[in-house]
Amino acid sequence: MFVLDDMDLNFETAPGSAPDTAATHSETKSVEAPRPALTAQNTAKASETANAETNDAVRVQSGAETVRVPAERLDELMDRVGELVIQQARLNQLAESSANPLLKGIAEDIGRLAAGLRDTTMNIRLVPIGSLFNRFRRLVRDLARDLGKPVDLITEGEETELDKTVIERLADPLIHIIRNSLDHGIESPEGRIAAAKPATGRLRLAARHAGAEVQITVSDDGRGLDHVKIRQKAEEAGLISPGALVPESELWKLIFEPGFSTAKEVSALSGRGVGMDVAKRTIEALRGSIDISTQQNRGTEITLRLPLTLAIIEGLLVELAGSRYVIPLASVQECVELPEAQGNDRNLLDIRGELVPFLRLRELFGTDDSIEEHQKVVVVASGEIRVGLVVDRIIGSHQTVIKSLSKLHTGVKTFSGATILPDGAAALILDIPQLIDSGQLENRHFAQIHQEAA
Amino acid sequence: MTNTTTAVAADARQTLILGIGRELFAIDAGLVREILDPVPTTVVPGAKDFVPYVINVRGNVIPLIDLKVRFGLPPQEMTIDTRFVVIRPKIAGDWLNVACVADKVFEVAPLVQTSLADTTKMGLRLPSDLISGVGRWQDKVVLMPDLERILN
Repeated sequence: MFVLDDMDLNFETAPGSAPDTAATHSETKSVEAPRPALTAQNTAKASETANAETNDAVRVQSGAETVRVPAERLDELMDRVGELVIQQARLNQLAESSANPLLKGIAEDIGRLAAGLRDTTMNIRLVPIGSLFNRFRRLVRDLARDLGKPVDLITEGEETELDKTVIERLADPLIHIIRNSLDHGIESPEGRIAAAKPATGRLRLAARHAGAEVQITVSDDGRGLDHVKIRQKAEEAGLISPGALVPESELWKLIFEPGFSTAKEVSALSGRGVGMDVAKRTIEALRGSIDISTQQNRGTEITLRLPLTLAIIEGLLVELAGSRYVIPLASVQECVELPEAQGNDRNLLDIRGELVPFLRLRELFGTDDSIEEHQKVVVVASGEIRVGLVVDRIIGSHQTVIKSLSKLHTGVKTFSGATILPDGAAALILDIPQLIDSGQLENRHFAQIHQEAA
Repeated sequence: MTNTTTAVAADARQTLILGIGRELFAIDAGLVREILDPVPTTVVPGAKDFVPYVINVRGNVIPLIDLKVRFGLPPQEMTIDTRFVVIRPKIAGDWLNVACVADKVFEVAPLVQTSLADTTKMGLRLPSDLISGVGRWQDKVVLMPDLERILN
């Protein structure tokens, strides 16, 4: 399903790149349409943009063959496929322990079909991000006019596809980031000329695939973040102690703290200190991450990393006190053995010279404290924070179909959802950013929560 | 058999009679989705103590509630009679799938529900705010749990 928007399409022949884009396209969408007749209307286009537009051209051509389907039906299909994947994993397990070659063969075939069906279904839900970018054209134009700052919006990678739900939920955080860039980042035309920059500001929105993730960057060529102002504000708010040595990258992250704004006056657009923290939370709820880099007078770049889909993830299955848990593989960095001599007094691990704090999940979960021998540490990362999680055993990787937890478990923040294992049991999925945040919680505190619940 | 069914009062409702601990409970049969033999349970660390587990029911992960904990009844080991009853009550405007542990499932029976009089409340020895009514089944007192209050 493609969204036909109000964007103007200018076609041109791009002999170098067009044939193979069209070819790959007809392969993935199985559209046997001949390459569209392209007419040169605008010859002064970069070949990059021409490439994207050729894609659009193919879409316009194949428009007659698209079907509009209500979103719930797709969700239903995805649920069914999820169940199929779970049952297929069970069949696989059964076939492996069986001596029947016929059964093994069938299990293998079903496995291949299920994997194919899963990929196809996931692809159906993917929507090009261009539909979202186009919504921002108007926003940027209106903001630029209101602020009296001429701004060029440059978009790249509109053809990058992302899950429909992710795209919908991305709109608000991106609006906040764009507003911030225009309001705080880009200077007034006079200011820009004084800084030897073109009077017209430049805002770039780019999306691209990076492995199983999509990276979206919003960059401006404005004044960059002012680290003096941020530091001052952070000290006032008590986020850092005065004079403390804070690496710049950590300092920039403070703008995602709730209530943080360095704007001297509150405008209709921004400066109220709400927005960036909400944006960060939304992105994290989508199991993504947000990073910021900035250079004085050169501009600011905000990078969002998002998973391709919300429905199925690769997970690492671990065992802990007899229960099994899933750690999203995307946040796993490495697995190491917990040294025997590791005393209980210090929860620090030396990994190739770097000290990594670790959490004993047994303590955190309040399970019995009998110490298992040969415990493993799964090193996970959220942003730039690395934390080790001590588990009893690492079982292996697991295709995790995510099921949400019931409303009765909304108070449980440590888990982002649950999944069903090949043997039919349920397993909980650890919420890594949340876990790292709550890392300071001690067993005592956990016991207290237990009491309150009772 | 025909005699008893014809003797049923007009305002009787079909309910599922469960034994939980030493008490008998009745749940509106319309809310009951299915009755399962016990399946593997998964502990949810940090959850409220009456929803300690989740289970897999046909590909959906749903919470397993323990009414014994909620009513302050003594815990009981699983027996050959233990069943998981999947119900779908409306909680705060949303339909919610939950399973609850029943130490024994008796039958679906029509039950005439009477609201709790203050005097009977005293004799219950249970948190009476979690009970919406009482009825009689085979000459025994059956309690109707107030699912909305219990789960909120």
